[in-house]
Parts: sequence; C-alpha cells; structure tokens
Amino acid sequence: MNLLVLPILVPLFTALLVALLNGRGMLQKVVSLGSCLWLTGFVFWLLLHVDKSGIESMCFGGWEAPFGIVFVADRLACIMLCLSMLVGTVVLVYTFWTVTDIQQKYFFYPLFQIVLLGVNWSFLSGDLFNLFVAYEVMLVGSYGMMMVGANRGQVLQTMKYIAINTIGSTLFVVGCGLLYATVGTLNFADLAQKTATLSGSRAGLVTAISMVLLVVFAMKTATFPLFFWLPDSYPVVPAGVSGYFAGLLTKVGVYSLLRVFIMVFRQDGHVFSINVLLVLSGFTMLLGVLGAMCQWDIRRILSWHIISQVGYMVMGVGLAANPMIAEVAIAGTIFYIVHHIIVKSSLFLIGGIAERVSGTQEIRKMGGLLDMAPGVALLFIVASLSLAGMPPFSGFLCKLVLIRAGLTGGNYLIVFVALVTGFLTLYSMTKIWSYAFWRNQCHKVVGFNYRGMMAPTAILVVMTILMGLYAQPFLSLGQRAARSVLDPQGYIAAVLGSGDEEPVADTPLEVSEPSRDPMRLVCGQPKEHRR
Amino acid sequence: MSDLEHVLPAIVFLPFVVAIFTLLVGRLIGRQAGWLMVLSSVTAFAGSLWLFIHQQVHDRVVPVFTFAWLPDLNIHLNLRADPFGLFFAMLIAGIGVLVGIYSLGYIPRLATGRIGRYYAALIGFMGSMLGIALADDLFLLFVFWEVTSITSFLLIGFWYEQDKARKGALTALQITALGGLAMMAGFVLVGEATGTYQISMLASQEVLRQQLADSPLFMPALLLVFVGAFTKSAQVPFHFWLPNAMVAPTPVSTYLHAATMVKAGVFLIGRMLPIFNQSACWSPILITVGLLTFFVGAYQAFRENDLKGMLARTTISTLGLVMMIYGLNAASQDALQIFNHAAYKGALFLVVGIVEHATHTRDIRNLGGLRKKMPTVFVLCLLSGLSMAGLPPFFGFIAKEALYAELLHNVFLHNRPFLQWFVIGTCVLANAFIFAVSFRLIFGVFLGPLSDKAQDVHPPCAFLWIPPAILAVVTVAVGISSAWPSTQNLMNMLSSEVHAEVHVSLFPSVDHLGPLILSCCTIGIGILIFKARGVVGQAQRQFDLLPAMQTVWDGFLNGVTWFAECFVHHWQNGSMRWYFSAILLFFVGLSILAISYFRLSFDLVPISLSQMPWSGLSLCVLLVITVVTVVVAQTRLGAAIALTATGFLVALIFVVYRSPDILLTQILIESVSTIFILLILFYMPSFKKDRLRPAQKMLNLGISCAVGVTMFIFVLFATSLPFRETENLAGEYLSRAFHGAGGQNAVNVIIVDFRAVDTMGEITVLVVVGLCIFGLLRTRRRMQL
Repeated sequence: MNLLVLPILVPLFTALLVALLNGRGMLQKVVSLGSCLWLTGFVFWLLLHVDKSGIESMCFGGWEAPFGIVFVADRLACIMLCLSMLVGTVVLVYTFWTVTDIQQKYFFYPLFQIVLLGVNWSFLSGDLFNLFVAYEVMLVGSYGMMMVGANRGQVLQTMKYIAINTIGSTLFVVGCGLLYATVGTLNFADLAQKTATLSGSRAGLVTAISMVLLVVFAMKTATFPLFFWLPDSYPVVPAGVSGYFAGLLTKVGVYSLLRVFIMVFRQDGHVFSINVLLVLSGFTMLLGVLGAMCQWDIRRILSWHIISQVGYMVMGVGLAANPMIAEVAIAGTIFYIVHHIIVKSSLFLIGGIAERVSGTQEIRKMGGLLDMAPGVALLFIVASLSLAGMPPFSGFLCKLVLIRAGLTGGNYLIVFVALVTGFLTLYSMTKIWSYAFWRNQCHKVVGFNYRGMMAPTAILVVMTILMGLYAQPFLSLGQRAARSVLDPQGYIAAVLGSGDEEPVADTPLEVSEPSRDPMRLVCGQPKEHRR
Repeated sequence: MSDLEHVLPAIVFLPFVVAIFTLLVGRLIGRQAGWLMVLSSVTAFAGSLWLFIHQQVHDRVVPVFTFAWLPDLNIHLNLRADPFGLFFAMLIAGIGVLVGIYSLGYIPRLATGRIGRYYAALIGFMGSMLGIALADDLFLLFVFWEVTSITSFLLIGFWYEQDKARKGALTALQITALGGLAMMAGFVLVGEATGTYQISMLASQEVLRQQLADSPLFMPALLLVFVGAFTKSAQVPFHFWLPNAMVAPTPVSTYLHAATMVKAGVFLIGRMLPIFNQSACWSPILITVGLLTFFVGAYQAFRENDLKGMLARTTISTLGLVMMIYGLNAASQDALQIFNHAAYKGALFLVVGIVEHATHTRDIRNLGGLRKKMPTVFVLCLLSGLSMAGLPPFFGFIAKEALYAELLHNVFLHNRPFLQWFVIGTCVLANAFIFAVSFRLIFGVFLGPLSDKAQDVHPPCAFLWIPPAILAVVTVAVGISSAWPSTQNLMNMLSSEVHAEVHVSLFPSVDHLGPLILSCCTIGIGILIFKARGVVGQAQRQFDLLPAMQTVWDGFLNGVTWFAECFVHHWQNGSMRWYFSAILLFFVGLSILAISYFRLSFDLVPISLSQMPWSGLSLCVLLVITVVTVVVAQTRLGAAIALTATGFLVALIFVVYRSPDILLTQILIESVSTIFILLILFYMPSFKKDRLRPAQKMLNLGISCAVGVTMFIFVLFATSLPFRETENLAGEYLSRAFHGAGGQNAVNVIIVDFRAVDTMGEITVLVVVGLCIFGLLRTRRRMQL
C-alpha cells in the first residue's frame, strides 16, 4: 500500500512549506494544524484498516523487500503512529499559546514537523539501517527544538544531549555493520527469518552483537545506567513541545526494543538480552523515582518520572523471557506505552500551564493553584493519579497487567520493585499537589488566560479516564498487537511475501545506457568484499 | 428479579454522577450543594433498605448484578447484595444522610469553589464506600477501595492552607496507598491460585478454597491482604495516620474516620473470613494485632487532650476489637459491634464538632461547664458517652455483654485457658480505659465551672444538633429494644455469618452471669482510672507504650529522600566525563558479559597475520600514529589535521581491499568534513587543555582502550569465516546496480536508488542542521547587540 509513505511525506512537505512561510505566523499555524489533523485522521484509519485486514507494507522505489527499503505497518506500528499524531496535534494546538516570536522566527514550526517526521518514520521503518536514519532525523529535530531561541544555558544542555546521543548513533551504525556481517541482511522480516535458524556459537555471537543495539535502544529509552541525557535536557525544551518529547521520544526506544528484541532476534539464547533488560528495568524504575523524589522543579520531577515509568515498560519487555507469560507481558507493555504517552504528555502540558499561571517552575514557590486554577488542578490530579497507578484510571490497569504477568511468571523481586516504585511515584506526585496546588496563594501572573491551553490538555486527560473505565477495547487491541509481534510470521509474509504471492508491482525499468554514469571510468570491476 | 439487579448499580454509581454534577455546579449553588449529598444518600439508603426488606420477605434471594467489564483480565463488574453488604451499605448511606445535613450547618461560607469540591469529594466517597460494600469482585472492590483513599486525602486536606492539614492528608494517603498496593498483590495471588476473583464464589466453593489453601501462594496472599486491611483500619503499627487525620472538618472525621472508611478494613476481613480462615495464621495474627490495637488505642485515648484525638484513638481501639472478633472466628457479632460503634462514635464526633464550632477550640483543658450554654448537646453527649462507656441500658452495654460472652465461650480460646484469661483481662482493662475516656469527655466538656472560651457561645442551629440526636436515639432505642428478641434476630440477620447465633439481650440470664461480672469489673476499674486521672495521666506521660510511629515513618521517608539526594548528586552530576565513562563502561561490560556467557573464544577464529598484505599493515601503523597525534595535539589545528589524516588513511585501506567506489565516497566525505572542521575552527575560542590528574588520564585511557578492544573483538568475530554470513545481499546489489538501476558504481546506486530513502533522511538532517545553525548564529548576534 503506497499510502504508507504519507506519515513521513506529509510532515516533510509541511516542514518545507512552513519553512518557506517563515514570518507569516498565522499561515504557519493553519498549515501545520491542517496537516497534523489530516494525518491524524489518516493514521487512525490506517490502524482500523490494519487491525481488520492485516499488515500492510510498501517498498520504496519498487526494490523488493530484503533488498530495498520497506515500510511496514503492523498493529503496533499503527498504534504508535496514532499516538504520535494525536499527541503531536494536541501539542501543536497547545504551542499556539506558548510559542514566542523568537521561536517562531527561528523555525519552530518546521522543526516541530521534522520531529514528527522522525518519530513517524521510526515506527514505520522495516529495516534496521533505515531505523537509524529515522533516529537521526528525530534527533536532529530535537536538537533544533532545544536550541530554537535558546539562551546560553540551554545551548550548553543541548550540547550535552547531542554529545551523548552521538555515542548512541555511532554504536547504532556499528551494530548495523556487525549484524549485517553475521546475518547478511538488515531487513527486519528477513532478520527474523534468518536469526530463527541460527544456533550454536553463531547464535551466541548474534546475541553478543545485539548488546550493541541494546545499549543504543536503552540509551534512547533512558534505561539505567544510560539515562544521563534526560533529566537535564527535557527542562530545556519549549513548554508545550516538552509534552511531545516526554511522551514520544523515549517510547520510540521502547518500540524499538519491542520490534528488535522481541520480534527480530529469535536465535538460540536471545533470552539473554531480554533478561538483561529485566534486570536493568528494576534499577531504572527505582532510581528514576528516587531521582524524582528529591527534585523541586516541576519539569525535573516529571522528567525523572519518565525514567521510572520507562522502567515499567522495559520490565514488560523483560518479562517476555518467559514464554508462558510473554503475550500478557507484551500486551501489557503496549497498553502501558499507550497510557504513558497520553498521561506523561498531559502532565507536561499541565505543568506548563502551572508554570504560566504561577510564573515559576519551582513547586515551593508555587501555591494555591487549586484556588487560582481549579480546572488545571482537576486535570493534574487525574493525570498524576493515573501516573501513580491509582484506579480507576488507565495507569492502574496497565500496572495491574504487568504485575499479574510478573507474579504468574514467578518474578517476585521485580514485582516488589514495581510496587515500591508505584508507592514512591504516588509520594512524589502528591508532593507536587501539596506544594503547588494546596497552600496559600502565591502571587498570580495577572491577566494570563490559560483556557486555550486547557482544551488540548483536557483531551489527553479524558483519554486516560476513558482508557481506565472502558479499557476492554484497548486491552484486546494490545493483545492482538502483542500476538503479531511475538509471532512474526504475518510480518514476514507481508514483507517478503509467501511463495505464491504476486511479485511487487513496479519492477524498475531496465536502463539501457549505463555509459551515462559519470563514475563509470573510475569504477573498477565489482569486487567480492563490499560494504 | 430483573428489577432488583438493576437497583444495585444504581445505588453504587448514582453518587458518582451526582458528584460530577456537584463539581460542575458547585460554584453556582455554594452551600446548597449539601442538599445533593442528602438527596443522593437518602436514595442510596432507600435502595439498600428496599433490597434488604425484599430479600427478607422473598426467601432470602441475593440479587446479583453482573457486567463483563474487563473480560481479558477476568475482572467483572459484579455487585452482590448479601445481608452483611446491605447492612454496611445502609450504614454508609444512613450516616451519609446525617453528615450531609450536618455539613449544611457546619461548613462555613467559604470561597464557593471549595464547597463544591468538598461535597463532590464527599459524595464520591460515599459512592465508593457503597461500592466496597456491594462489590463481588476482588478488583472491583480494590478500585473502590483506592477511590476512598483518594477522596479521603482530598477531604482531610480541606483546610489546605494549614501545614498540619496537608501533612495529615499526605500521611493518610501514603499509609492507605501502601496497604492498597500490598492488597492488590495479595488479590493477584489469590487469582493466580484459584483462577477467579469473584468473592462469593471463593467463599462458597469448597474446591476453590481447598485449591487456595494448598497453593504455596496462600500465606503471602493472606499476609498481603492483611496489610491492606490493617492500614485502612488503622491497626497497630499503622494506626498513627488516623489521629493526624483529625485535622479534617468534623463531618469528614465523623463520616470517614469514625463511621465508615476505617471500617472498610474490618469489613474486608469479614469478607475474607470464609476464604482465609483455614489458615493457621488467621487467628494468631488477627488476635495479636487486634488485641494490641484495642488496648493501645484505649490507653492512648486517655492521654489525649484533643477531643477529636480522644475519639480517634477510641475508634482505633474499637476497630482492633472487631479485628480480634474476626480472629476468634466470632463473625456472628460483627454487625452488632460495627453498628454500635458507628452509632455512638458518630454522635460523639458530631457533638465535638458542635463544641468546636461554638468555642473554636478542641482542647479539653480549655473547656468546661457547657451544659448550661447548650443543654441539648449535653444530653446528646451524655447518652452517647454512656453508651461508649458501656452502661445499661444503652447499645454499648449489650455490645460489651456480647463480647464478654464470646470471650468466655469461644472455641479457640477455650483450649488455651492462659490465653483466654490474658485476652479477657486485656479487654476489661481496655474497656475500662474507654469508660474513663467517656467520663472524662462528659465531665471535662460539659460539667464543672464554665471556662473562659465558653463564655459567649450560642446554641447550635437545627442542622447541627438533629443528626447527633438521631444517632443518640438509635443508641438508646436499640439498647432498650434488646429487651425483646427482635433485636437479636436483626443483628443475626445483618451479620456476615449466615447462621449467626449471637446472644443479645438487655437482661442477662441468670445462668450466665460471667459477662455481667466482667462488665461490673470494667465499670469499677473505669471509675478508679477516672478518679485517679491525675496520677494515671502522670504515669502515661512517663511511660510510652509504643515508639511514636509517626516519627518512625517520617524518618523512613526522610531516609529515602536523603538517599535519593545523594544518588542524584553523585550520579547526575553534570560532568560529561563521568557520563561518557559510565555509558562506555556499561557498553564494554555488557558486551564482555555476553561474549563470555556464550563462550565465544578466540579458538573459534582462525587468525593468521600472514594473510595480511604488508601495505595494509603499514597503513594500520600509520593510523595508530595519527590517532595518537589527535589525542596529544596541543593546538586545535594540529588535532584537526591529524583527524583528517586518520580519515584519509582509512580511505586508503579500501585501496588495499580493492573497493574504489567506497574509497571515492570516503574521500569525498573526508574532504567535506575537513573543510567544515577548518571553517568551524575559525569561530572556536582558544584551545583549553584539561588539567587532569595522571590517575584520571590513565583511567580515561583505560576506558578508551577497553572500548577499542571490545569493538575489535566484535569485528574480529563478525568478519571471520565461521561467523560471517556469506550469503548476503552484496551480490544481489552488484548485479542489480548494473542491470536493474543502470549504474556501474554500486555504492552510488545504493545511495541514490536502492536506499534512496536513507539518503533523503540524511539530506533532511543536513538541512535541519543548517536551519539550526542559522538560527543559533542569528540569536547569538541578537543577544550580543
């Protein structure tokens, strides 16, 4: 289905168009919003379509699968796309109220579209190296977002973020190279097919090589001990956009873990890497929430909570080591991703409003927000209780699923860590509530109208309530998605085609005049050892 | 029958609808929102009462409502109206009516938004309590359970300008949420062992109970559920949150912390009794904790000077008593004890609220002589206080008689005479303390000379005194009516045990004088304690029964926070060197772990340097030299030149391996990046060499070498023959490059055609970098201007 290119094509062209429209703020807003809304509609349609009629794939340039680049939309990818676009649209509307003139002047809107482009791309990509490229686009967009209209301190933090991510990118390329050398392909479907046949020390080597990729993805997800970049950099991102970053960027990492470590690596002993993830997840949960406990800056608290929440998702991935509970654990992880993207984004947006209303990020200087902005308080308490896993919101159910999976599988220690983390999360969120929303009123920033920022935020908060009270459809969708990740036969068939399927439609035209290639004279004969 | 079913969800969920409505319109109607509370609780009460009467008339059929809420998780919205549940629901709704009326007179005229939120939380709380009473699914119960914790948090923090209120609310939430998490884990374990979460099924089916009892998960599940119940019902050692929660407005204290919410833990134990009581731990744990709490609560109540604190501690005490009763498997009198406590304690709380409202103090030392100023309230306090003291003919007396009768004839205790007398002795002493507390309350507040604070008090309005009057009437009426057997029948009907046979009577039978003697002892000791209150108080100040648990808990939380601060301070210290070292070391460590785990040894790799062409080897030597030069270079320009040299040397390696197309690409890239670097150098500030200690330098060198070696090992393995995949896409690319895409330089064709999307991405990256740099330079210029 060629339409699969739209989730990257639309943001790309919107970015170009909006860049050309620089200086005409209103027009930029209209174009960005229009494209986001349209694309949101499309990806939701795509989700329904894929859920009903199976995995869709698309080959670029007509070069068929293991050979060319392929985009694949399975349920998991579609769910992620929907979340990306939903949160993206909400955040875009929110930023209409927060964006400054300087930011607007230095390509705020184009950069936002680039971030969307990178994120959407990484969900659709069906090829490891292509995923790397998607990561790069996403990262460069995020660098830009952090530096847009930044002051000196922000640029310094961004430099750290860039430097750490450069290590990640380097390792990613190295991992691609090593994997290609040992397995001979980088296409996910092809890899899944080929790794399944590996055994013995070759399988061992592939698992060892997968550690390189594990480090890359773990860094992206901000797993222990690689989360250095996150707590310092997110407070630097412009107010609304931090909601998108908080929701989506680390979850791209979790998605990649699911895609690569659950679906692609199927060689003997691949459980090793999943167990490594399980161990890391325990530390991540606990240390993340501990980090949050001693912060006083609302954005920093929330940033540390991302780390601890990512721990839960990685725990879900790690629990999949046990085939008995793998499906439940992965379904729980997917449900958790959906919940967390929505809740964490909404919390950052609410935090942004609280900052605006009280004029500070420091919760000890805030106070009395409950009286000043009761609507914001309502949104906050719902979202924060959901984050802490209190019923009847979505956070409770996804924690319950993972904890059940852990107890069924007999992983008591990790369940204990998860429960303790849940308690400390509640402690830390009620600290925000007690300092910022209760207490006497602090000085109020007069005449600031936050109603416009409330509406988009409320959409996300309503989603978490809905997902808590009416969770059945979400749960079963997560389960279907988990099934197709755990058993990649459908994915492989959709990408590589089974024997009887018709060949890919557009075969490239034979070019009869190779002499037109200017490089012809320099190039020697084809050699055996390339790449 | 079908009508009856649908009453159940209406009873439970209607309050939530009303709560949301109240939240929306609260600002408009202000204090009148209290009527919504009254209305919804009257509805719930009527519904429960109707169900109960219907049930008694029609063959005791238990209405059940079922809805598949989360079939994937095996969690269902099952509601079930058994008599005990209905009793609890009627209690909740009934007290809800009174608290609603009382609030109308009590809650001051504040900013209207806050009043709306107050009533919304109160109504929501009522709904979730009704849910707990009627839920027939462990997780449905848990959902409501946690909602009560949250609403209680919001209600305790009603006066959120006060530090004490916030602290009390936070502590209450922390403790109950901690218990909630334990309970959740316990419920999951029950489900794991039996495959169902339906409470009635677990309780009634012998097979399931046996399955659970045989499971290794039985004990952990039991203990975890206990933790949940103990935290909610403020049992030792979790009891300290309840006195601190007395910062709440009095109607909230009455409703949540005397009559209903704290009884949820007890109620849960009642629900769990048929499921868990085959455990050998059931009785010992419950009796120990219950008895300890019973005594500690009563003992500490006598020491307290804050009126609400006194009542809160006697509440803790009574909850311990009920826990103990469950521990003795004497569930038949649970309804009796719960009802009794709710009636007198509710009335006393409301009376204290009136006193506080009029005098603006709750300290018993500042009060006295109020009987002249507010005679009605005095009478109410007297009736309820005497019931608490356990004097005839009040409800409290018959409850105490029933307790003593049980203690004297209990099966569990009967075989352990020493334990029996210990339990009886402790109970008598605890009851004596409670007796003394109620006398202290009556004498201290209403009798004696009129205190300064009470000089100009006004009698309460009707909203304030009617609710406690109704409760006082109930106390007296039940007490007196127990002269006839109908009360006994009613109490047996309401109990959680199906065939309850508790003996309730105002007049002790001549054959069993034991309870009466114990009651007399209680009263005697109580009077002694009260008379010697000066001495006892002195002694109590000297001798603490328990360490102050609040201090322990705060110490624990502070310890965790201290640890967290240390961790963040050292871990997230902002030093790039540490970040890089940690990341790279983790990479190295993980890789080495994997390599050794899979026993990948060099024996598997055929290494022979003889195959290495001399040209390649010399290039490698040169590479090493240039890399070292990059590191030790003293100027930026020197480092840049060395870096360029490295790049070109790498390119030359492709000559050795005869790949001119890659060579060409590499040279292009190197040239471009050299130009870039030289351009950037122009803008860079002067080169500042880090002054590192030698040890630090060696460490950095070590880490770098480790990374290099790890990479080398990976490449060595991946490219050596037993591991390398020879059937890769290279051949396909080469043949298609010419025949399919019409290009002879395969690398170029890959870049612009086969993998053109990658290239598009990289181009996008470059464009964005350009935009960013443009913006950055412009902003910098702007900031300089």
